[in-house]
Amino acid sequence: MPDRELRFRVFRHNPFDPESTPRMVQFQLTETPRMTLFTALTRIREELEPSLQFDIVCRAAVCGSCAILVNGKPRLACRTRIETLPNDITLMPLPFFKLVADLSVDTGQWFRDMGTRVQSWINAREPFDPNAEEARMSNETAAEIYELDRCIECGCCVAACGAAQMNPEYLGAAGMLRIARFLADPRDGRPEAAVFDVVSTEEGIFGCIGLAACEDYCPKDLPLTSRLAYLRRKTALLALRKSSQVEESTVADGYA
Amino acid sequence: MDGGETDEKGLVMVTLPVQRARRTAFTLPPRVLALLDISLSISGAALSLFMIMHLGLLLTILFGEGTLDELAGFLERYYLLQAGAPFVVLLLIAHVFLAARRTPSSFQRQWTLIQHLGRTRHPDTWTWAFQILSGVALLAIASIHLWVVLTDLPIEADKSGLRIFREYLWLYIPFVVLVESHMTFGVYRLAVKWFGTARGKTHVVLGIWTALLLSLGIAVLISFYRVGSDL
Ligand code: FES
Repeated sequence: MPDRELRFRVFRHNPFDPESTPRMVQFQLTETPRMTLFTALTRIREELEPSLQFDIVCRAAVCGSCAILVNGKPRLACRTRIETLPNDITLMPLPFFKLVADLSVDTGQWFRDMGTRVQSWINAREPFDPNAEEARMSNETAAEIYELDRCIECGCCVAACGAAQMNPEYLGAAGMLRIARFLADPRDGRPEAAVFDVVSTEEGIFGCIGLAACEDYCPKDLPLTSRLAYLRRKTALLALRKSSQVEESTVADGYA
Repeated sequence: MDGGETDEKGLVMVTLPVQRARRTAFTLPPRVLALLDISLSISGAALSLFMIMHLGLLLTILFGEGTLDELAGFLERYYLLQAGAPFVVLLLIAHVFLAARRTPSSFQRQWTLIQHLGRTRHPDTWTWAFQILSGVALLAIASIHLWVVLTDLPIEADKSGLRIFREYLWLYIPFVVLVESHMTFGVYRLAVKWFGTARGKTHVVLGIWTALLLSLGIAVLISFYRVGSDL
């Protein structure tokens, strides 16, 4: 239904400007056919308020930079169609992450830190031999790794998570999914104790209280609750084993 | 680069050291954390089983006061009730402590949660908040219930009927409703947390299940009320 008069209430604040105070600012736009939130924000910036800051890069739900709170729910601006929204639209930056300005937050820093904490790289079993033939992998394994690698690091899962709001150190569904991704990878040979130490903490799987908002608001429909449940079961089973067995296992076999 | 070796093509090979997790002085050991999380779920599941059994026993009132009195007499004669009650009380206390660990304790965290609830309005997050509030209410009501019943043994249909008719109806109606809903949301969360159950299907199954338990619970309550009013 084009031609609607849309009223946007947009959060504005620049934490780097000592004069700036957090406030909500109103903008009016007329709806156009097949309008997305990306189009709307761009028009606001071009026609009404050139200083408005927000992040848009790929506009195809690939880069994960455009996540904002749309009427309180984390969504990607580039794939949110205006026709699915009411006339009054409130836009806020994602909570949990560091505010850059207006609708722009710094997810990159957080994801980089998360990547370091969960060791988001292959812990090779053997030194890499560039001349050797690549090890083979079954189709199912490859598909599983590919599925878990689809995360675009937009931060919607963490912004939607009640546990994360109360625990800023929590690794979030994105962090747990990343660990599950490397556990699924036969090339990875990280010691069991290293996985257990990261996962079996309040910042890891035991920070999760099963609210499932991560899955409900994941714009890529990643299988978050099932992988979180998998990590919880495996970690709990490992906890019941003798600690020396966990310490001695050189590969994360208990998670296999 | 430190520790790097160069291969024949001149590429630097670096093996990154495997790091152990950061640990601050006041975090619990991983093993303990895991056990606490398992215990919360198991104590909840055990209490749910107990509640279903408890409801099963109470259903005998639907067949008349005699049946219930006989059953209660049997449980007491062989000390099944006396042996079981302390166990249930301990289980309840354990469940309260384990759940309290997951509840935001500082005012700042509670405020953060309230803001989040109001902003995102995510249904499953709301049911979690409901678990906290209903849990607190249930702790109070269950304590009263246990005290009143266990200090006035033996259990007899007439006595319970009078109690509900004369004094405690206002307490038992919210008791039944809160127990059933707290149980449903708890079992639901348990299924999601440990088994990642497909949530849409779980909603339907648990909805029917709760409706059933609720109507049975209310039927029992009405029967007791009748017994009391007939005396
Ligand atoms: S702009 Fe890249 S995901 Fe939206």
